[in-house]
Amino acid sequence: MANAAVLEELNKIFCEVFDDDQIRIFREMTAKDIAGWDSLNHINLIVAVEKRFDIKFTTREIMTYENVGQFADAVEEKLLKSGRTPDLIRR
Amino acid sequence: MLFNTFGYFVFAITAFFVFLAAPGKWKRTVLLTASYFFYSFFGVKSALLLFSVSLVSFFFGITMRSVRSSRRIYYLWGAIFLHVATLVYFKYAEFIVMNVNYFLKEPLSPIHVIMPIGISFYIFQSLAYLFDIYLEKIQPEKHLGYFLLYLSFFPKLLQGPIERASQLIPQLKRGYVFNYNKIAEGVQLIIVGLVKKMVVADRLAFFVNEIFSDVVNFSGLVLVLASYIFTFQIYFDFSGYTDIARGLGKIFGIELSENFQAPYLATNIQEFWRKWHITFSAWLRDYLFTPLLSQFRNFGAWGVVGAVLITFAICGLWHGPAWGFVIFGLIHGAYMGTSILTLKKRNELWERSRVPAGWVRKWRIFVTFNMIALSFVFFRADSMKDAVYILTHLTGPVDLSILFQAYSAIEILSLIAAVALLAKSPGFAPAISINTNRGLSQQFYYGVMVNLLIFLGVKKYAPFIYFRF
Repeated sequence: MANAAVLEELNKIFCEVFDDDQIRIFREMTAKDIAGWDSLNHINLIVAVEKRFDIKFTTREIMTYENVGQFADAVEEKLLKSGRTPDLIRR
Repeated sequence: MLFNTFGYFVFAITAFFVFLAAPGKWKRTVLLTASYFFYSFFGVKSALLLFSVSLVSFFFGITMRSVRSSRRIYYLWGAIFLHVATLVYFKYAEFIVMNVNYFLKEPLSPIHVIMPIGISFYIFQSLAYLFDIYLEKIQPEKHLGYFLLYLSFFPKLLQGPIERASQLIPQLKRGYVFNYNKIAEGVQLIIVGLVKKMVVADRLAFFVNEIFSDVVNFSGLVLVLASYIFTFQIYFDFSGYTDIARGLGKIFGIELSENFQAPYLATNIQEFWRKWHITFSAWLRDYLFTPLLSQFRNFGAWGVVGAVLITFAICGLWHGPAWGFVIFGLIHGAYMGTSILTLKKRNELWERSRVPAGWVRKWRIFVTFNMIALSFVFFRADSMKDAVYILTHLTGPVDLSILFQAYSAIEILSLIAAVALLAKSPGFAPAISINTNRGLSQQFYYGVMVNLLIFLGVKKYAPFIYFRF
């Protein structure tokens, strides 16, 4: 289960990518819940997350996540694998 | 034996009554037998190919899931290779040899392959099935019978909708419950589809065929009009087909996917592709565009343009082995690339322009429609030369007498009546539907439609445009 710090950072990225400060992400959230979450913005989101956390996703991973929760867990797992604790990622 | 023929009518009715009479467990067997029986009319070899492709997908699906996760990609690529090679051989071999010979001093001997009807549709469905297993979105189907029926279900076999296994297979497995309302809905959709095809599309085709078969004899407004009319013809033809397919599906208790949502009311090209041939564009988005874009994601705008152009070149080529289709695809690729990169800016500009929103919307629909009509010139023209001729001779004489030679007053009136009636049909314009309390009653409405079909439908059999793809 993804850490609150990861979710908080992800929320900032969502707001930037979808150009909407009102977005509040939740685990069950899917593309249907955000206007403008199309295939293009999906990739924009991935690129932004990759840059912010300095992690990499495979194409297969990018196409598999079913909701924000799964995505956030994957981000956290990648952070832990690279030896960083989620708490330290806060800006 | 196609949807708009008497033979098909007899087949569908027979299949339905045998289906109803068969005991629960046997209903799916009846559907599968009917599907292969129907397809065999297009050649036993075609049916054998469909069966082979189904077997390959079925076994690759199961094997892919049973091996270690890291090895699955090899099975996926193996399956993609087999499917694409099959499609290329049956659909594009002649075209490739012809084009290669253009550059060779000693030409290869030309080959002639008869393309099995519907192959592009069932190969794309097989690929989607295998991708979804690879991505672990679905479990492989373990029952061969259901899988064969998924690919061959006759209402959607020849021309789509391109169904996803996750949508269709669970419906095939669910027991059939007789539902009078569903059947009535299905019959109504079939009537609407037949009117679109036989009263509208086939009649529009008279004029379109007359002009496009001999473009060099025309110029000016006639060419503009022919291009516009073809744009409507192809919509009525293909959406009419889809209505019939969906109607048939409903009769057998199966909901097939929507393919059209008022596509010519789109205000930009991105929206158009979300409303036109939806199951196909969604396929391209999920299994081609997204993976490509993911690969190119660090190249910024160039990556987007690259992914869009490759996707749409394949989109064009999917329609058939001809350069006109490739150009059609590339035009849409260029439209789409530009649209993606500029849409946000354009929206902002319009918002600041103080032009009333309603007018902006109408203007953008008008522009988008014209862009689509222009691309369809390459789609319809008999050769690239003809297409270029049309686009360079759009200005000139304003003489429309040919239109009135092509159609009698009654034919023009029947077209207007049919379109006016269709505007009220479910699915044609999503916001409007028949209300039984106000306006036309359903019985009267469909009664008029059936009469239109009987008295004003074009009886001379014309195949659906998308059967060639």
